[in-house]
Amino acid sequence: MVAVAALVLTVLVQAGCNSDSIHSPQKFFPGSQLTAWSDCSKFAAPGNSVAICASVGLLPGASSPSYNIQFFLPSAAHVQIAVFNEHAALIKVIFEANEPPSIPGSFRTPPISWDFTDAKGVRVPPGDYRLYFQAGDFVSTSDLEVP
Amino acid sequence: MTRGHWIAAAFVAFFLSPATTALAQEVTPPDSMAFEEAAPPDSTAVEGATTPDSTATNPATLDLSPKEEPASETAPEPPDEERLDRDRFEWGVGVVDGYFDWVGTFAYRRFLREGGPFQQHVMIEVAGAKKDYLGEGAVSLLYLFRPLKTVGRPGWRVRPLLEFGGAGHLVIQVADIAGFSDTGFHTKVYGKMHAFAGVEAMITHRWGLLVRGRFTMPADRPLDYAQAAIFLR
Repeated sequence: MVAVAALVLTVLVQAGCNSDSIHSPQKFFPGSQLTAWSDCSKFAAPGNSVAICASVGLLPGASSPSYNIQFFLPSAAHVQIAVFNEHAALIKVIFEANEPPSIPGSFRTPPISWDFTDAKGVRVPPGDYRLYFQAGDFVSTSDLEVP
Repeated sequence: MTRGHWIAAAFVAFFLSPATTALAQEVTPPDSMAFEEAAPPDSTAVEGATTPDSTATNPATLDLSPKEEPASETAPEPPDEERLDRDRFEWGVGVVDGYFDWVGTFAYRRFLREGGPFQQHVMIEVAGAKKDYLGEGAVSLLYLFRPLKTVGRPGWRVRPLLEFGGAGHLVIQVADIAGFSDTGFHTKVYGKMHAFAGVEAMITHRWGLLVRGRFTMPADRPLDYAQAAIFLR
């Protein structure tokens, strides 16, 4: 009995013995479904389905880089974009509004930007974050490592 | 009535008293059998004690020595208190040093063996917690060593609770992705060493209360939780 318990314990220790506290939030993102929105410069907006693109860059007039998101909507929809930390806690709702249909072949301008700050305007610590985009029933995510 | 009659009557009264009979049945069952075997001479002696009869006048007929022998040959069973301590259920609430404010716990605990300076127990614990967007369920299997010197005596109503051992924890967390009708799942297995320190108190014969802290290694925060629980044994 003791030998079996020791064997089980050894396996468990090798599988996941670390200094994490047991009742702490685990790292949900990035998980096994790592996703990323493509760079907007790579393609043009299609005309019959929702499309999203994003890239890190310096917007005109900005002093520091931000994550800039553009999207195409074939029809009007309620759009919501939010960012979550690796423990799946909501950090900030970046955008929420009813959007008209996009001009065929063009992404929305100006882009929606996230300046790596939380809801209080404080810069988030470096780490892994996940952005959620929802337009009507359409949902898409993108993982981002903030330096 | 002769002196021999009085002595015989006293012995019979002692062995037929309800308390003695209960003791013989509870603590050493083989004794009761020996008692039954030795009963006929006693009954004779009873009659002899109530009515002066020549059959009871001879003390040689009241041979009590065979009753003592089986008791010394048979190992006595553990008393009730110890037997009750072999299994127990625990319902508790723990204040967690971490993201969650508290966890609810349910555990089954079983005595395995006593070897060297320790009692050895195995415990299966299920814990659950919920706060804001995050929920957690954990199943833990613990193998615990409790120093015999800290166990106390069966009659003690308040006893120290000091033990240590290894454990495997399967933790499942569920996150509600606020505003996006999505749910995140994450599972992780931990291997940890624990030490428990606290006090347990018997409220009734079967129910009791305990308070204890669980210290963990390796861990970011050594004190996992401070728990108060009700146990049924």
